Amino acid sequence: MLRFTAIIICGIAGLIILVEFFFRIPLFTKLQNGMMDWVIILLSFSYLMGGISIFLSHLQRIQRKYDGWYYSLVLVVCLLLMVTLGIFVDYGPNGAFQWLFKNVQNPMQSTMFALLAFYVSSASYRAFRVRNLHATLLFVAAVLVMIGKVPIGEILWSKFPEISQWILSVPSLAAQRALTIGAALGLIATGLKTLLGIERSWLGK
Amino acid sequence: MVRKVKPIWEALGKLDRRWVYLFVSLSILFPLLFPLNLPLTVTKHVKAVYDRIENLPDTSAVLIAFDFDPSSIPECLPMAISLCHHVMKSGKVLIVYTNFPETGPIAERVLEPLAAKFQREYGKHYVNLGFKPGNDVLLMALGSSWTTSFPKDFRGNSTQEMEIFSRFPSYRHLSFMVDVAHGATVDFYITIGLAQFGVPLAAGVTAVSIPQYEAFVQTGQLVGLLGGLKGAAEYEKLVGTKGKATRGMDAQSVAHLVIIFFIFLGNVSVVRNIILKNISAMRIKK
Repeated sequence: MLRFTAIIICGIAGLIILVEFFFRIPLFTKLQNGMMDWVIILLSFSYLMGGISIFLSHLQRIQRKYDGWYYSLVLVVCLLLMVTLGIFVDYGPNGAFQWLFKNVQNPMQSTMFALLAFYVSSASYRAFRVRNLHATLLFVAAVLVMIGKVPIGEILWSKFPEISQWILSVPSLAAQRALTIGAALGLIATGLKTLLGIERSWLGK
Repeated sequence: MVRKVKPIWEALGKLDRRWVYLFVSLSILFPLLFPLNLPLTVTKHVKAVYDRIENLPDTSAVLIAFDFDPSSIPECLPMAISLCHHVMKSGKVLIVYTNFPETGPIAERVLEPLAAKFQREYGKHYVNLGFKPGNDVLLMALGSSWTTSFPKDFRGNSTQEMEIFSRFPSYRHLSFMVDVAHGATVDFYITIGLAQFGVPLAAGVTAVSIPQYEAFVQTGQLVGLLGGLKGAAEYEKLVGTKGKATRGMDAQSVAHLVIIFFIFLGNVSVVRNIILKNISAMRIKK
């Protein structure tokens, strides 16, 4: 009975959104706006739930002295510190929370992403080998796009940016579009199956 | 024990990765320390975004969504700075918000100096709404009202009393929006912001996302596209500033050349083997 009720609620909610999107009936607009507010409120609580969940799971790792428990300790201390500073001390632009965010969080996240450049360089060196026709095509396309997307490419040969843009706008785009349309059709099918109660995996076991 | 020495062409294809890391580091470091000032041409996708903002009436409002987190700052922040610079300089109203919890303070650090420079008044000429969860759902709600979803702005001020929202009460009242994004947020501005509310849109994305969004420029759903550091540098050139993106282009140019050099190096033994194979095949035929 509970599962059936959940499916009915899901179907009705989906129907309201679909009718509002296509027909703009004032009653449905009002209902939709209310539902949007609920979703935003629920999502806000999901952040809280996420925070509590991560805190508890890492606390457990520390208590049971799992491998690398000291990393969990760093996480728990930092989490508590940031929550305390943000809620009870000063969230303002000159406060400790923002200072830590600007001088610790920002550089650390940027550094993690910047490391990708090195991994990509090493992977390109190893992967782009002209062993067969497909690999050769990939190699040529990669080199042309890389050289055409930086100013030095234009200095070397004025046609490099044009060729690079052509690769992006024609062959790459054709494949990209096929993927996008395929994914969109899949999304429509999954959406309909969920609304009609055929797809029930979201209900859990 | 005699140590077997690898032939040079084989050694070139099996270099220790630390050599690659070292040369890539140097290729980034040197141009940053000693700029090459390479000339930069503005592409039509970037020019289209600039022209659209430039040609809007002074009474219009532009939304710049800061949809990136600190990991994408090197690529996305220079775009966001140049776009805000342009909107504020040209006298349009600027609304900023983000779908990322970490980015509200980043937006604040961008807006404050620009507002001081162009003498823009907070709440009247520009506003930073900060973060609110919801992504596409939030956007749908913004179609009805800004102030319902954001009763308070990033600074904690009540949005109800702000002049900006009496003139532009909802997302539908915007003349243009640019999503500076490192993720898939652009998708829902297209499907909801543009398709449902009719607000023209452009995007500033990281270099890896360019192929994904190029399709939407071709269909006309995106007015233009700022792609990666180069897109940011081109916009800096258009607004007449020399920011981090412009300085970074020299480093990116040299780094790309170094990576291409290593790719060629890795192929020396492969090409040699193919040539030898062909020669021996020809000999057998003879």
